[in-house]
Amino acid sequence: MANNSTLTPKPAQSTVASQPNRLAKGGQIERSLPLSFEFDGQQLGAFSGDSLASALLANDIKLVARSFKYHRPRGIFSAGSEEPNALMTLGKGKYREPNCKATSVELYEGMAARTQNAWPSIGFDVGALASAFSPFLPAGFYYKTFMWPSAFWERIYEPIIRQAAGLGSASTLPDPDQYDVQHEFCDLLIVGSGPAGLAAAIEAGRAGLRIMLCDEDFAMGGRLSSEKLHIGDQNCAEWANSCLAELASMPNVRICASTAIVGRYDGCTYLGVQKLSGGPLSKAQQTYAEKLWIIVPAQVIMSTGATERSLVFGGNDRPGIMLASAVRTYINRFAVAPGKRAAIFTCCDDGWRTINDLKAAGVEVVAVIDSRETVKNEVLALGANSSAKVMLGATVIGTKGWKGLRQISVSDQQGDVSKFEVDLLAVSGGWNPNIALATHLGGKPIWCEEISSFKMASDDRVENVQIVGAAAGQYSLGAALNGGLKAASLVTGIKAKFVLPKTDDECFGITPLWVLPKSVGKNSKGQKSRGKAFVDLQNDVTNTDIDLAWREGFKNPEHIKRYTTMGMGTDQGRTGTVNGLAQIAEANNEPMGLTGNITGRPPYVPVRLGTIAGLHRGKYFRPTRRTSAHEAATELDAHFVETGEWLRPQWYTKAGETNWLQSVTREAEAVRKSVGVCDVSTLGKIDVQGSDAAEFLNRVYINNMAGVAVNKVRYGVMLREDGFVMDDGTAARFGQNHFVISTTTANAGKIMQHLYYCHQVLWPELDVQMISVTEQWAQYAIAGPNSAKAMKLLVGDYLDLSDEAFGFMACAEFSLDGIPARAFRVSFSGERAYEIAVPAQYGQSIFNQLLSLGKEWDITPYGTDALAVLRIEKGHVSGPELVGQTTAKDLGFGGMMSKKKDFIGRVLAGRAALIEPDRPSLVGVRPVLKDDRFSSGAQFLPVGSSPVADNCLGYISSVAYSPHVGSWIGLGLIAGGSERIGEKVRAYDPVRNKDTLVEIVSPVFIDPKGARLRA
Amino acid sequence: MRNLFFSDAIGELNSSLAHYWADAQLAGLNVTLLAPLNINSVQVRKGKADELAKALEQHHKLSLIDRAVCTGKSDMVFLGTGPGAWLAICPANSEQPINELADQLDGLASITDQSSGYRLFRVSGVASRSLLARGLAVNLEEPEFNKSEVVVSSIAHIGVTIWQTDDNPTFIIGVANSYCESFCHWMSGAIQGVIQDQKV
Repeated sequence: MANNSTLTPKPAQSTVASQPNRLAKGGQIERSLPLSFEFDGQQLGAFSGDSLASALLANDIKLVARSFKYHRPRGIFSAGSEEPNALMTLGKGKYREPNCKATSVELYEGMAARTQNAWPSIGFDVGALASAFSPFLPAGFYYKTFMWPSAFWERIYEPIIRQAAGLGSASTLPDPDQYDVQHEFCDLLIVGSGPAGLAAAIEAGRAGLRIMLCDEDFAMGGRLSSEKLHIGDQNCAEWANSCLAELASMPNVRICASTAIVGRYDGCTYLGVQKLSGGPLSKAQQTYAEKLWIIVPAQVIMSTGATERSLVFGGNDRPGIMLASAVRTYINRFAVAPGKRAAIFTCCDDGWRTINDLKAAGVEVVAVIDSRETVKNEVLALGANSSAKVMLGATVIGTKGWKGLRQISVSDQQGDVSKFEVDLLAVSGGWNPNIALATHLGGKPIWCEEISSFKMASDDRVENVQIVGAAAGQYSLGAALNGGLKAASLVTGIKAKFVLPKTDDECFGITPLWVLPKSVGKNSKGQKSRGKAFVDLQNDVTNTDIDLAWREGFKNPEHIKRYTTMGMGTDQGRTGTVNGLAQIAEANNEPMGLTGNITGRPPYVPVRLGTIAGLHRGKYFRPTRRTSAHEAATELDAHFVETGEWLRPQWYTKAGETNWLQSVTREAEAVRKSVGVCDVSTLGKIDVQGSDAAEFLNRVYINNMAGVAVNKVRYGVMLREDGFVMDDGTAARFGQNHFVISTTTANAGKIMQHLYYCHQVLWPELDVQMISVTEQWAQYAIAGPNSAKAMKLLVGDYLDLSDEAFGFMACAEFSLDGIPARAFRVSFSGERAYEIAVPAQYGQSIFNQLLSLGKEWDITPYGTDALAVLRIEKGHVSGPELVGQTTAKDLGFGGMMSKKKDFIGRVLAGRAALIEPDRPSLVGVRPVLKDDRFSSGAQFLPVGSSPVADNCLGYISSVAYSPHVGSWIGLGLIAGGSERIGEKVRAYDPVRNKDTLVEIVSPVFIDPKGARLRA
Repeated sequence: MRNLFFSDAIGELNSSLAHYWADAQLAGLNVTLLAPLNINSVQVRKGKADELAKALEQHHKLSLIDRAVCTGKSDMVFLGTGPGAWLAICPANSEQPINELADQLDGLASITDQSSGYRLFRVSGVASRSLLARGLAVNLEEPEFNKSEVVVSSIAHIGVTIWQTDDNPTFIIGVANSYCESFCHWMSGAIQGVIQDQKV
């Protein structure tokens, strides 16, 4: 998306002069808006309305790519998203985007395009030597060749293969583009703006339906822009423009060009990707490069058109060989003559329609080669005014020309070979309805002999979806228009009012020519198709590759696809796969319908990952939650850590501190010696009310919550049904029927969900109501010997904080100068401590107040790391110990498990394996050598034992440097638990390559009697 | 201390976030972070639905509906947020403080103060629906969306409660307090999308 400059009109004359293949008149291009662009460093001219492909052809550039595997020269083959060859890298630097189809890209001023997969240049590519080794590079060669040594695969084989056969390379810089997203709920989604789509849109639009009309092309109108057919008195392109003008005037119609509907999903949901850059807006005016549409329509009309098939013959991939419909598109829509001397090779009537368009463009048509022995007179009449030699029952059996087509060899009915000097061969193998979207939810297409292709069965109509026009095999203009009208009429529920004028109706007879037989001609003279005959151009899959795969046992198209790569890649084999399927059917000796088609899956065209991510990238990959005091913490140089979605201060850096340990140690010491304040707003808070609230909590906690007195707090533990610890926290009782419970930060959502489940599913008879109040309350812990003094200064006028009135584990609701507030006398640090909660909008104010009032005692804000130091010193468990594999008994809470009541997890916590005395249980750990350091995750091993799993006794769960102990300390879970206190074991840490001798100690490193809590 | 306690956190927030919607006017949108309202969650006690409805009719002339709709008058509205659950909202300076609900509905419903738990954004203007469509997977277009209905859904992975207040149209979006900055980031991106749409 290097659309960096605005459209600047330039003298049209100079631009036309530099475009040798540009026709003097005609086309849908805007000749008053010349554009310049760069191709492989060469400055070229074009016009607004050009695609990159048409601009290159206008400048007589035919060699635009090298093939995937053999690096064969390739040219532009199609005029749409089915393009297998012309993949380019657009933009430079951070804007570099590889594998863009030149046929789909709208040209813009200043576009920089480069060829890819060629070295040193597109004209001389060393990789083309691969062709010489092609006998050694058949389908699946890498499965057979790179078997050993296995160590070579990742470092040698794969890089070499990728280098040799890769597509373009993406920029390694962050994507500078941004992406929009929008939901759309319309009455009718019309996919494709060709004749059927436009007719349907006009009919439904006039009926007042809310319509979204999408087309993947940057110009609306589908094939109406590319043909010289008539609808009434109008040229079909003029008719399309008048329809679009009317639709644009309808407020109920949204027209989206450059919008590919890439997937269909459950719930009638469609994804569309709209390209926003490259259009009329310059980069400076654009915020977004693409938009992801999430569309939920009531009804869908799929007028997705059809894709012309290639023909499989020797040398069918040379630059200058092009789909016949693409030839017409370049002439009629882009006013470009894609060659000077042309031939047409077809097996159907449609190819013949190219004769007159070529002639009108001044291109000499030397031959029309039709593999059918007879064709209708009206088809023959299409060539009546041409000097082209008509050859029926003939086939092209060979081509010449390395960087561009020079000559074709044609075998006639008698097997005689004629040679024609041409630089353009228009091929037409029939048409495939574009039905991929209809199959995304599992719809199976059927084979239709009439059109010699797959289509959706008319009695297999997908719910709310109608397939019309060429996508339904209605190939003629009149049939497509009427199909669109009929579908719209079904949607509106009223008879179609739009009266269609008389239209040209084309012939669409076909006798498919799947794969050229090795020996051609009625009276064969042994003439053989010469050269590689490609079924899948993009992946260099030839007819012999498919034959080989079949001989090696791959009979199913899905298997052959994966073995040969036929039908893969950015084009999904849209021009060639059916030819391959026919070859498989013939080999299997079964009808096409039985062979079946390859399953289409979304996305229909390649989609950038950035488009799917939208705004959710980088910092905003997921939403973050900030506490009320976030700004205040930022001003105090807090370093934040993600805790779930929350951002919590991890530590606060003071001037002179050079590493986190200095900050954390200072904060922990401040709490032990004086007073600190910690933001604990992120802990989950759940308001539980109702006459059965106490009973409810009694059933979810292991300990007795019904017995908690009003204005008291109790620590509690919840188990899962399987008996393992789920979470811990406190329950504060503010009234007979009113509790507020706390959860760990990470488990807040899970506990809320658990409680809802318990109430709604297990005990709906209980009168209990609960709601999260985490967002409502900002809460701060004030901990340390001077906490009472600081707290008194803050709330002393409103709440009696004396030990008698507000002792350990007390709680209270009160009015703090008019603000509702709650106070708790609880401690996680092991120090005397309080927590104060106020409505979140006052949180920052309270936090700042605490810092201001506590200055006398050098009050210190502390983060989660210091909090961890304090709780490890005190032996309190937290997240690292509540890992879903520990029981209450393992963590030292066995005594809390009530024997007088039932609770969730009680029965399964009694399982034999969960009460084994040797289960790892909580202990403290410290290094034998004071300066040694160990890490959490280290495994306990007996001294002298080998480091194998059988010898593992447990592991260290939490580690911190303890200023109180003066060394690193930890908590861990070890078999035998407290029985091992005093024992020395190894803390073996293979991840960090450490092996430390440690001593098992009590998990409580400070104040085992709890005197400091009440000091 | 009073002044400090009552420092206008919302006012500060409004000014610190204003850059997110600085361009809203360009898109014909009016985006505002509202001053706090009195918001309480109301959850019906078991078997008390009829009595609760009668009490609200008696005290507030309000017909309670147990669906995702908005009922009530300007001085107090009830937003249905789930089965037997509502958000009762009234102006912070209402003559009938919503706190009185606790007394009026004693034994009939559990009342929980959530005034500080939500940030309320008001989005107004013809492009409001286009703006919200950039994040909300709910059709807000009439007639599918009735003006009295309430949406409890998510935008950009953030829970939202949305209701419409007039035909401008104006929508109020309730967002959990802590997600405010992330929500504003989404809003900023959505505004740019609306602006780009209007340029084409």
